[in-house]
Amino acid sequence: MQLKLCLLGLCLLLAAHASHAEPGDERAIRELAAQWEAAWNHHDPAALARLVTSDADFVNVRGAWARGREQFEKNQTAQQEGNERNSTWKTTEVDVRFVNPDIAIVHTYWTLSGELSSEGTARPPHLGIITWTVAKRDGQWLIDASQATDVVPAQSH
Amino acid sequence: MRSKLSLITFALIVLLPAPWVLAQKGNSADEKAIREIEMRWEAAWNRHDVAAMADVYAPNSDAINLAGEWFQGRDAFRKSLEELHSGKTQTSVWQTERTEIKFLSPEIALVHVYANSHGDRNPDGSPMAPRRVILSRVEVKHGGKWLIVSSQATNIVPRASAWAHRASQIAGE
Repeated sequence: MQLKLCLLGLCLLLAAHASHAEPGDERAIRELAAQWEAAWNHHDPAALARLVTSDADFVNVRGAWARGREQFEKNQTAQQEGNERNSTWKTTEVDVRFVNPDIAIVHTYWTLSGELSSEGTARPPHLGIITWTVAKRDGQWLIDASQATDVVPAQSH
Repeated sequence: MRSKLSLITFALIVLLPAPWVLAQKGNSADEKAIREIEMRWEAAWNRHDVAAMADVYAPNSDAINLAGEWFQGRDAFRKSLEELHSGKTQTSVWQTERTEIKFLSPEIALVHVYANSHGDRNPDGSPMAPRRVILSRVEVKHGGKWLIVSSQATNIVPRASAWAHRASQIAGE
């Protein structure tokens, strides 16, 4: 009897790994997007870095690939003290799609205003799109991969 | 007896690695199948075979192109490829430079691809300079077959500072 109970418990534990996403998961992922926006607008690289996995892959709008949280935070520090120091991030749309209970793909549209170009001149506000791969690690949803692309106005591509 | 069983259960729970640790390695057949997706994409692009290009995508996939356009579903992406390959990319040549694979589970992989293309045209019909791109893809094994479920492409912008640095070096030479 005790053996059966123990095995049942173990089976339930294993099954939990393979179950569907919990109702709170989508809310937690949307919260992650809200935290990203807030951390960006505080120009806080450490807070941004807390939202990503230790081995996160980040590809920015210029096609540059940062590998791992440390590199990501280093790049963010340079950006947030540089061209992004007065920029404002606004997330305009978040779409969440689960691939399995612990991995989801998130599409986000954002606008960025107050950004400086590499020459130091003001860039007009612009729209972009991001694909995030988010992962649930120890109960917490984090960004595991990200790629961003500027949305080009229709007549010019 | 009871404590021994509890101990075994406890040990199993503690020793059981987290799923993402357990699942880091795909096997070599999976890796080969994922690399083949890029080979098939390249070959299909270069013979402008839109059906074969779309074939590496899952029916409910998401694709975001270099212009930031988001196509929801394979059919929508296929339609855009048909337009491209009867216009701006009808003489385009795609070359995959590098494919890097990270398994998120035995059936889910994150794939980064560096590629370049030449022979493309601008919207006004003038020849476009060769360009390099990077793609992030999520691929899923379903029914024994790997397919792209999400893909985003971004142009690689040469670093202005790197060029300026090189220019100043040349000027100083």
